[in-house]
Amino acid sequence: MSRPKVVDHRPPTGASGSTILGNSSSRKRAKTDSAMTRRSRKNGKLGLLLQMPIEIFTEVACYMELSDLLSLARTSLGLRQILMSKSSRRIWEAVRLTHGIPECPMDLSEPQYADLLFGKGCKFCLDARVKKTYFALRIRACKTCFEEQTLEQKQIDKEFMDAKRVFDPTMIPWVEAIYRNHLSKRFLASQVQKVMRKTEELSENPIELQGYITERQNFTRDVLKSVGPIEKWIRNAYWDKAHKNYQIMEERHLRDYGISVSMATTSTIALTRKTGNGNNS
Amino acid sequence: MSTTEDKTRKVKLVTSDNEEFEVDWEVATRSVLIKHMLEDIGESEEQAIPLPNVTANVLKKVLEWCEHHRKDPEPAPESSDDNRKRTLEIGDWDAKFIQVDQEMLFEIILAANYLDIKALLDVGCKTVANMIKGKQPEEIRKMFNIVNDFTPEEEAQIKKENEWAEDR
Repeated sequence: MSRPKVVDHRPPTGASGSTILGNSSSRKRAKTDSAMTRRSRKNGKLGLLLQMPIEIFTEVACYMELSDLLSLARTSLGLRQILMSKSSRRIWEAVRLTHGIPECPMDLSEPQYADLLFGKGCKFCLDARVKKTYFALRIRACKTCFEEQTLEQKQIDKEFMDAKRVFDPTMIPWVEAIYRNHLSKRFLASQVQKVMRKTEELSENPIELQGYITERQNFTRDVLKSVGPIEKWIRNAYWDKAHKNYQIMEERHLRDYGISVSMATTSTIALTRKTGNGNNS
Repeated sequence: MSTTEDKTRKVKLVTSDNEEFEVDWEVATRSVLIKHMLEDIGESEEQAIPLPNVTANVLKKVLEWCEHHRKDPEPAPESSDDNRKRTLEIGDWDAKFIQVDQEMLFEIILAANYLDIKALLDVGCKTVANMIKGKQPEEIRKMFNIVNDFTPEEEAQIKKENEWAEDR
């Protein structure tokens, strides 16, 4: 998990006894007028944001949300290059940390992860309204495309049996979904084909095949393990938002009608609204 | 350097447009840059501190912030750490203070960065971040006068693509 830090001015912990007062990052911050080297392909007039030194842009970006980083990365080539560069990884990490979003799974890049969490649109038909994400499959898809692009375990088992082979479901991530009134494990067809082809390719080479199987099993286990915390975070975020909205509504009612929503039955709300309106007019 | 003396001590600051400000030591040293400069020049109080990167109208605004925050405790050292959880709230006074036009906002941010006033820099950065929050790319472009320099093909591509760019 540990990666080399891009900039690290901090003295190593444990060696604090001999540090000279004031040699930390605070002094280095003062050199500001470096790095005014942003370029645009066209000579368009640039906004003030783009003329900021890169470290200030970074600071600003760290206070945003992942969805905003995705939007910013779609505004212009320059901003895209900055945000999609691996050296900006710490921006995405800082935003995740601030919002308590779980670690980015190893098989995804930070922007991919952010897009799965906050993006919109079906991966297949590109219907822009679609919001449903299947985290274990690393896709967002509409219902129709999902059913078209995934296979039920029974179907795969049968195909494998016809080919006189056995399907190993631990090599490919799945989601559980209801299809034709029953709950079943569904696998992404493209992944099934890919794994099938590769295992066929390696069938003459048992050592490499075993290596590949182990690799796929580890991958699948990690992917499935990553889903729990992510979905838990989404549930909590949804709850927080709903709770906040409820509080706002309650405050508004308290202000307008002098009555708390949680205390009022539907009929009393209706009643107070009526009398409230009556008094006003 | 004794603190009782510092309380009454005045500091002279000279802006890029040659305007001189005289402020309390406690106010001026909200700026870590000025604080270090004062430590460097020692007791020769009469010496004015040149701030060649700040104009008078910006410094006036910055000093207004420093004055209001003169009693704030020193930030904990780890607050400049990258791996911290950032708070997104802006205090009521700060929120009112930072209601300025975009140009002044960025001037304040640059000055806070140069003068090394972390808390003010944070207020500025949060404010800019809040301006962008929840906006679509087109709205952001309009707001910051950003030119959309993607080709149509690139634009179609980026809707699907979210991989790290290859670092050259």
